[in-house]
Amino acid sequence: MTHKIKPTLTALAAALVLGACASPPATNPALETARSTIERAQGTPSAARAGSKELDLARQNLRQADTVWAKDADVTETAHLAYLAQRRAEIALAMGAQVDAEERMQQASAERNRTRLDARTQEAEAATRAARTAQSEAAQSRAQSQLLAEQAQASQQQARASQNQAAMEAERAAALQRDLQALAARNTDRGMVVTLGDVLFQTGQATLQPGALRSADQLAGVLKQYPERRVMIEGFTDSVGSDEMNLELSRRRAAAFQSALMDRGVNADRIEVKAQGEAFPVAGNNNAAGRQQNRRVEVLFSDPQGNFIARPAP
Amino acid sequence: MHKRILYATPLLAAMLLGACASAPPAAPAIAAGSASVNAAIAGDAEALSATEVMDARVKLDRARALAKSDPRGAARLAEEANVDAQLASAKSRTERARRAATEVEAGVQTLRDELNRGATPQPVRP
Repeated sequence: MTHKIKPTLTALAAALVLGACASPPATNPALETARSTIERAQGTPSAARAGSKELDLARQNLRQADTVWAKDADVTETAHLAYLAQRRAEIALAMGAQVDAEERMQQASAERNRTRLDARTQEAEAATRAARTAQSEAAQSRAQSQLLAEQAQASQQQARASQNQAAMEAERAAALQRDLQALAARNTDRGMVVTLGDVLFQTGQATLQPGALRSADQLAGVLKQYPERRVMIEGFTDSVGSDEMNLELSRRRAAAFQSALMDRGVNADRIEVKAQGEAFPVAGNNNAAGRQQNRRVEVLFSDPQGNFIARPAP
Repeated sequence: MHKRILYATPLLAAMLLGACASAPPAAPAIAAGSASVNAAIAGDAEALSATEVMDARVKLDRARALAKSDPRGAARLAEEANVDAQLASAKSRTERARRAATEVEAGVQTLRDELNRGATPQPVRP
């Protein structure tokens, strides 16, 4: 009995074993989870790089697990090896994430340094700008004060110049007065006046006597010396005779003296002639001495600008 | 008598070898796991990966308890404690690196904001 049964049992056992081998074991979820985690780690560049040793170990564990599962369907050992593979793949992923974070850190540090540099550059630029503004402001105020100083100096110079000019003019006027003293000039409200008396003309005539010619010489000399001055020659008569006659006589006498001056080189435009007739007597016409004083020619000097002061109305 | 011993010696050796092949002693695995757990604790991994460290410690304790009675199971537990502890350390290092990077990035942003404010025209001096 036992002898007959033994081979049967052996064959049965063999068949069972063969059957187990022939039909592949059902997929193990733990194995598949580990496999997919390993694949994820392999597909993550930083994990594949930084966790390469862990990944190798994980693959090795997975291969062992596959083998054990395929050969023995040992659930415990397969689960154990799959667990190791899973964990090692996770370690590889964590190592990759660490490297990623460290790279981020380095980039941020570099960025921080760049930004700090920018900040310092900006500060320096602001300081430079402020300094430049202050400089230009200082330069501006310097220029302004220089301008003011120049203006002050200029007006001082101008004042001095006009002072000098006034002094010169006064000096010159004084000199003219001295020079005309030889001609018995009078300083009147209208300016210097030289009076040529009746004696220098023949009675009732406009012909100049030799004395008058001397006066003309002297006056021409003075006028040459003072080219800024002009003269007004005014003729006067006494009240004897008609007004018209007297006006004509005074005009002719003044004109005669004008010709004498022009003969001596005095320009015509520097001489004005005015016939006053019997107006503006300097003495009474009721006696001979007075009348003689009234018959005269007056030579009025202009101011340095060539202007005459008008005679007040009689 | 002598013959018996002679027969028994190879048998004993075979048994011992067989025992070695099927169930290696758990001590090396426990030592390795213990080293990884200690490294995780020394690296302050508990602060950021408390669960993994706790898992590793529990498994290591069980491995030590089972070392004599079930060396195979003890070795498996120790090996798992080893990878648990290593994962705890790795995750904790990653988290620290992430936080440091985020901090520096925030600092850069603050600095840049200040810079942009500074770039606006300054008030006119009196």
